[in-house]
Amino acid sequence: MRRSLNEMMLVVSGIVLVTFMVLPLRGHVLLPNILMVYLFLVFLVAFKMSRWAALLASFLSTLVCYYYFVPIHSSFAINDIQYLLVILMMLLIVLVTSHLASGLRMQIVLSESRERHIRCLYDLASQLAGISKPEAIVEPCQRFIQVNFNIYSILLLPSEDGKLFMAGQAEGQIDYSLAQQIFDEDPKELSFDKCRRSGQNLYAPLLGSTKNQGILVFFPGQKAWTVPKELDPLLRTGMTLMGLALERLGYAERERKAMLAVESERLRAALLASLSHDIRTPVAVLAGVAESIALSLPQEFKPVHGMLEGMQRQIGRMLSDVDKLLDMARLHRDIVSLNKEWQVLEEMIGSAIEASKGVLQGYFVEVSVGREIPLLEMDAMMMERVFRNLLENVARHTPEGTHVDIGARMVEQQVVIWVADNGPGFPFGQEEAIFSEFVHKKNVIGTSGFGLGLSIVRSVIVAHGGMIHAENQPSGGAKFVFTLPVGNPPVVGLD
Amino acid sequence: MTETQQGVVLIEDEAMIRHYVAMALSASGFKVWESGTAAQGLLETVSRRPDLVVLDLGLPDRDGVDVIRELRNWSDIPILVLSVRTEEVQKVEALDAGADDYLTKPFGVPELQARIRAVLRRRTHHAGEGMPEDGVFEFGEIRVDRIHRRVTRGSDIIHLTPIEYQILTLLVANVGRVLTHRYILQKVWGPEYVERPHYLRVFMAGLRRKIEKNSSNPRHLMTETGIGYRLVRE
Repeated sequence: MRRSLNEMMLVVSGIVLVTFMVLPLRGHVLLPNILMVYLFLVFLVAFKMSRWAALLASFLSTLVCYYYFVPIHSSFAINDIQYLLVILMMLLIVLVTSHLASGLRMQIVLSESRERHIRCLYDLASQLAGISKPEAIVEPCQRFIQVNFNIYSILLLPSEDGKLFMAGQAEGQIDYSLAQQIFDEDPKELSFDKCRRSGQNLYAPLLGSTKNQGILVFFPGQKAWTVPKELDPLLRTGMTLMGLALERLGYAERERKAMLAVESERLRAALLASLSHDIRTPVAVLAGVAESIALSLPQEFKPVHGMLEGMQRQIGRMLSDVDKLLDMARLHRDIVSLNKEWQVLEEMIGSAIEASKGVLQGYFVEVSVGREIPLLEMDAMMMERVFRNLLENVARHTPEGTHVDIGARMVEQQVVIWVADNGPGFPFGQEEAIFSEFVHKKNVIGTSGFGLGLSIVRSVIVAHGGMIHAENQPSGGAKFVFTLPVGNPPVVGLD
Repeated sequence: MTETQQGVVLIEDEAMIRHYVAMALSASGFKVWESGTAAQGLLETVSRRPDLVVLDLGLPDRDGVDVIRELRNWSDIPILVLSVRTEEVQKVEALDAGADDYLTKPFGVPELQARIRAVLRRRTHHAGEGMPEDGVFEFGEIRVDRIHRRVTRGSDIIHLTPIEYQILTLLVANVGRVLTHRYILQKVWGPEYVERPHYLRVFMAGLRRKIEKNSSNPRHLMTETGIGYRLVRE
C-alpha cells in the first residue's frame, strides 16, 4: 500500500518536473517531439514500477499534453479536430506501451525467481547426494527451508523400531503422537495432503516410494505464514528430494547389513572348513597307524587286536563326523552354487550304500527305484550324502538285522523318495519333534551326530527344491520321505 | 613282489602321513624316496627314475595338477594321487591331466596296495590280469570274450548294445582303475560329447541292469561319485 502510494507520488512529481522542463520549448518544437518525451516517461514508469503507476502516468501525461501543448495552449479548448485525434492516439499508445512494458517486467521477475528456485533445489540435491548418514540430512534441509521460506524447521526420523525421534541438534516443542500418526499412515495412501496442523506448527510427511521416511515440522512462530492447502511447489519438490535421500540411505544401510551377514556366515563356514581339515589330517594318520599296527602284529595278540579294532571304529566315526562338519560348511558356503548335473537316482543310491557298507554290516538293504524315474538334476556328492546320512541314522537307531527299504516313485510330477526301516520307529509323538529338531538346529557347532546329519539332509533337499518329513509307518518302523522336482531332463538317444 | 625291487617317489607335505605311507610302501617291498615339496619330488623323479610316483594334491609350493602336467611332458611314469574327500574337482583335473588313479585319505594299506597293483599292471604291457592274450576276461560270473565280441553269464549270452559293449571293454582294459566321465565319453562317443555325462550315466544304468545281479547295489561296475567309474574284479 505504502509502496504504491510512493510510486504514485513519484509519477506525479516526475510528470510535473518534465512538464516544467519542456514548457519553455512550447511553440519552438513540433508537438510530436514533445509527445515522445512523455511516451518515454510512461515507458520508464511501466518498466520500473507497478501496473497502477503506469496507468496513472499514462492518463496524467495525456492530460498534461492535452492541456499545455495542444493549441490552444493552457486550455482544454481545441481549434482543430485533428489534435483531438492526436491526443486519443497518444492515450492509446501509452496505454499499450505501459501494458507491454509491465508484462515484460513480470516475466523477468518470474524467471528470476524460477532460476533461484532451481538453484536452491540443485544445491539441496547435490548436498543430499553426498550424505551417508540419515542425521546428516538435517542441516541441508533446515537451511533450504530457512533460505526459501524464512521458517525454522525440525526433522523427525524413525529409529529402528519405527519410533520417531528428533534428528540433529534442534529445539522446539513437538507433538510426537500427531507426528507418529502421520508417519504411520497406510503405505497405499502416501501424500503431502496428509500434513496436519498443531498449534502454530505444521507437520508434513517426507514421502518414500513404499513408506513415509520421516516427518518435517515447520515452526512459523509469530510470522503469519499461511500454508496453502497444497504446499508450495518448491517446498514439495524439496521434500520429495529429502524423502528420496532418506529412502536411498535406508537401502544402503540394509545392503550393508546383508553384506555383513553374508560375510560373517562365510567366515564361519571357512573357519569350520579349516577346523575340520586340521582335525582330519591327524585323525587320518591315526587311522593309518592303527591299521599298520594291526597288520604287523601277530594274530596271537588277540586282546590287542580287539582294542585296535575298537580304536579304528572310533576313528572312523570321528572322521565321519568331521566329514559332516565339512559338508555343513560347504553347504553354507555354496548354497547357490550346487554342482548340479543330470543324475541317475539308482546309481546314486547304489554308491551311497557302497560308501555306507561299513556301518550297514548286519543290516538288509533293499532298493526299489521305479524305472519311470527320469534323470534328476542334482549335486551328486551332496545327494549321496543325503542317503548316507539317512542310512547312518538307521544304523544308529535300530538293532542289527533291521531291514531297510529305499525306494522312489513318481507322484504327480514329483519324485517321492523314501528311506524306511522296520526298527522300533520314532518314540510316540516324536516324529514331529525330530522334524523340528533339524529345523531349529541352525547353530552348526552346537549340534552333533544325529542332529547334524539330519540337518544336512534337510538343507540339501531344500537346496534342490524338495521337502522332507519323518513318520512312523503303520506296520512299525521309521520312515523318511522326501520329494524332488522333476525339472526338464535332457533326451538321451539309446543307440 | 618282483625280484628287482621297484622304486616309488612319494611326494607329500604332511610329515605324519608321508611317514605312514612310506612305511606301508616299504612293507609292500618298494624302495621309497620321500620328499615334502613338489620341487624336490620332481628332482627325485628325474634322478631316481622310479616305477611309480605317489603325489599329494595339496602341496605347499605348487599345484598338484601342475606337477602332473609337467611330469607328463617327459614321462609316462604311473602316478597315484592322494587327496582329501572334498577335492572332487581337483581329482578329476588330476586324472584328466594324466594321473592314473587316486586314493582318498584316510585309506587302508590293502586299498593302497590294490591301487598300486592296478596302476602298475596297466603300465606293464605283459599278459597281466587286465590284458589276457586270448582276449577273454572274467569277473564274477561274467565272461567277456573280446575276440568274438561276446559277453556271457554262465552259458547265457548277454545282449549288449554297441555302446554298452564299448564301455564295458574300456573298463575291462583298465580293470581296477578309475576312468573319468570325460575320458569314457571321449573314447566311446567322441570329443563332442565330453560335456554330457548324463549320456554315460544312462548307458551305465542299462549296462548294470544286464551285468549286475542287483543293479542298485553293484559289485563290479562301481561309481566314483563326482569322478567316474571303476571296474572291480572281485
